Amino acid sequence: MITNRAQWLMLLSVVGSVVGVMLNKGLLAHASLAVLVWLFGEWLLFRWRVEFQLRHLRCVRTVNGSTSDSGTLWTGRPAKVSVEIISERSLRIPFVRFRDWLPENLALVNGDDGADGQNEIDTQVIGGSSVEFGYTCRAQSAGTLQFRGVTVSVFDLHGLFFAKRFLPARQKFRVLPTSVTVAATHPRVKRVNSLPPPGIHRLQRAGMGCELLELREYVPGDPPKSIAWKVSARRDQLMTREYESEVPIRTTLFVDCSYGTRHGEFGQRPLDQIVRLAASIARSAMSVRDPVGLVVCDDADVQYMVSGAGDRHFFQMLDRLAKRAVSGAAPPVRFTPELLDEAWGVCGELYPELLNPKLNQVPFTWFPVRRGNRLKRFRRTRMAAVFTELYSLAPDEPQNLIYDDVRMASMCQRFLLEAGYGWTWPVVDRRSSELHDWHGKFEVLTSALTRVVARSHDHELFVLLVDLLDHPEPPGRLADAIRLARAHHHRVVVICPCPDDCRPGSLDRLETPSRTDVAGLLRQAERLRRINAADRLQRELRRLGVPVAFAADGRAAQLVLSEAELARSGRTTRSGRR
Amino acid sequence: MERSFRESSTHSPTRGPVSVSTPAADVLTSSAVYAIIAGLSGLLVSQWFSPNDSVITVLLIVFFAVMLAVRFWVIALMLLLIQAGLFLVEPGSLNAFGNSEGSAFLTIAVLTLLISASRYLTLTSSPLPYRLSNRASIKVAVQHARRTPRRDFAAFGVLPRQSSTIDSTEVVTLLVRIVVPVAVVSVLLAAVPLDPAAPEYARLIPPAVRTITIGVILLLICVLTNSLLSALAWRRLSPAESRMFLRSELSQWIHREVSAIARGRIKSRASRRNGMS
Repeated sequence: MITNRAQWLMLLSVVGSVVGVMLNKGLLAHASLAVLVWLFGEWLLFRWRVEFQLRHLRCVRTVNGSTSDSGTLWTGRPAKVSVEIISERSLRIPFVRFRDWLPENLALVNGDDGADGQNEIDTQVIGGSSVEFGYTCRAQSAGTLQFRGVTVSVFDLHGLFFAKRFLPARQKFRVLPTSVTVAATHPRVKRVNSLPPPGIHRLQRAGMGCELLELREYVPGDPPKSIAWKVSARRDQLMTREYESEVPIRTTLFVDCSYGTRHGEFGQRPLDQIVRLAASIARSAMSVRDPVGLVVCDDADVQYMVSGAGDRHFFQMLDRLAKRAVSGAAPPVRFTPELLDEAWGVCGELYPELLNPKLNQVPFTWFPVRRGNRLKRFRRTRMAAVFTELYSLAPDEPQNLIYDDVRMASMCQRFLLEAGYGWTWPVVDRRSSELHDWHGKFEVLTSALTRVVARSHDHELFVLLVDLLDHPEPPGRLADAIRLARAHHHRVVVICPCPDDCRPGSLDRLETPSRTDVAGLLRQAERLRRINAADRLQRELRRLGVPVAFAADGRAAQLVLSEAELARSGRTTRSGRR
Repeated sequence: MERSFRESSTHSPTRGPVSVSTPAADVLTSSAVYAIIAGLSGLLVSQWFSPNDSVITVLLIVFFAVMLAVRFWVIALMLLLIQAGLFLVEPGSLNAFGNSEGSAFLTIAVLTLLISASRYLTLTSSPLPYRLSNRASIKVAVQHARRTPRRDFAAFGVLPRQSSTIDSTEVVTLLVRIVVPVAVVSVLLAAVPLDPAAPEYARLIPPAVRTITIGVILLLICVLTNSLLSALAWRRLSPAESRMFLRSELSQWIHREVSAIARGRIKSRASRRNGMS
């Protein structure tokens, strides 16, 4: 692609040459023609490098010391990435920029040595030498992510031409949620139990615990070490100590993976908070041998994972959460200019060759006449051709995509989703009514809770990790299901994520923006709305005897787990009232 | 998007550690090269203009100011001013073919100036200035004119660059880049002289015939070279690129018909939906 500098130089030199030759101004003609020939020579050289030399570059990426095509990363933990560009032949590209393309889920972080990480470098490729650069990044949310390759931007030495290509180097990683380590939980007294020991919770039945249950007369067959010798001496009769049982408490996590929880930036989405807290609660419970079950719901579907304990079960649970974080309900299809722009930008990064105007030609049409609209039509036509190539669509599909907004929006969303982009924001607004399918979500959640309650034979703990903050009315059928669980002497905790890292707090902590700061006023209004919604939700759920916690960031995990612990202990308040 | 800046050295396994140029060295190079460019330009321009002429003095001052301030348009401005100077100074005559030793030396000086300035600007700025908005370009230019270290350019996408980007054979390639165009132009102008008999057979004035002849020769060279390169590049297309090209060609042929069918289908579907509702 020719740059502005080259365009102007070419225009001036052509004009100068024509004027010089026509008017017999020899110096002007000579100088201008020489500039023209120089530009032509630079163009030849540049095109040779782009068309013939660039194809001999290869990329090898090492993530955490491994070049494997797949692997596992953890959210919040830094991953060291090293990229090596290998030239398979002796090349001469004097000025090139390599940029490792990162999905939106990855964020660059500083390295261990405090140096800023950069996923790009300006360099040259001379001979058969290789180029290596490295950086540190961090996955922000659970799911999967894919390194696609390296964007290569080639320039000539004088800023006259540039071209962009893409070196594929695909590596796919499963991203598991990192759990927050919390303090050990305290034992509680359990009245009914159907689970086999061991555990840490006290059950007032004879067992092998530490707490004394009662003293009784010795019966032949009792172990000698359980004989209470002092009491036996006082009573002149052999007495045996009986201890309480130590049993576990089953915890069931209800994780809301509906479409409404996927709104926002990676790492800040309600779903990310839910997954992180679910992992933390599961780890905390399993550390005291409590079995943990998982119920993953979205707007239409529910998946059950039977309760279990141990590391294997924990990792299976994380894997299930990561998978569901990716494969969720389909978003509402809506064609917006923002969606098209975003898809166009990503397409230009990942498939610059397929957007080459020489290969991907736009048929001539008279309409639209206006330049802006014409440009949009050109973009759409080229993207339609790229989608047809990528997804092996029918030959007439590009024309359908050009004129059918719904199909085009659907393809754009699919493309962005596969490229690892959060595509929700151009499509829907968080405040809009179509973000949450409340009816479907409550239907699924209620049936799941009812089913789990019906199958439980024990005093269990149900943790509902559900995004209810924007729900304008009382929970309705969900409240009935919660009452049912409470009637069966189960504990229920509701954990509600917040859309950003601002926990709904009190008004006095708010900063008052100036009257001219429109964005600040809007932020404050949104926060006030959220505080009111949180107060209303707390009031409604307290009537049902259900504690509510609002998860906003990593610090909230401790609070949430203390709420869960409160529920385990059988008390309704921190002061200890049962 | 803010980008962070890294000054640590980058290690290349085959060529050993490669140091990244420091901001201090940039400032030094910046001032030195600006001084050289300004001096050369001043010499060039003052050769053709009388310094006593107040208009030309103002023009010179504006030229230096613009050259120091405007960063990415400076090359075109330089060429424009040089061309304007040559146009004003040189009287047009049939004898002035411009293919003398003097004109070759002048062209060498002009090319040296343009190539050096372009090379320097490319070395010290982001390789993507052409994608920056005008406002961002001006900000970068002002920062550079103030000799701000390159560290502050990071916000505009200027990356740390390996010093090895400056090729060891830079001087040789510079000489080739200068000598070849001058030689080609000299040969071309010598091969296509003014023909006094042109009005008789072409019914055009001699300079017009000469302009058309040179234009046709250059156009032919350009088209032939482009065709050759395109043919060679065509054989190296990837399968996806080839499919894309074929599909694009096909859709151009049947574009009108398929578009009409697609529009009709969408319209009928919409009318059905409206009818149902």
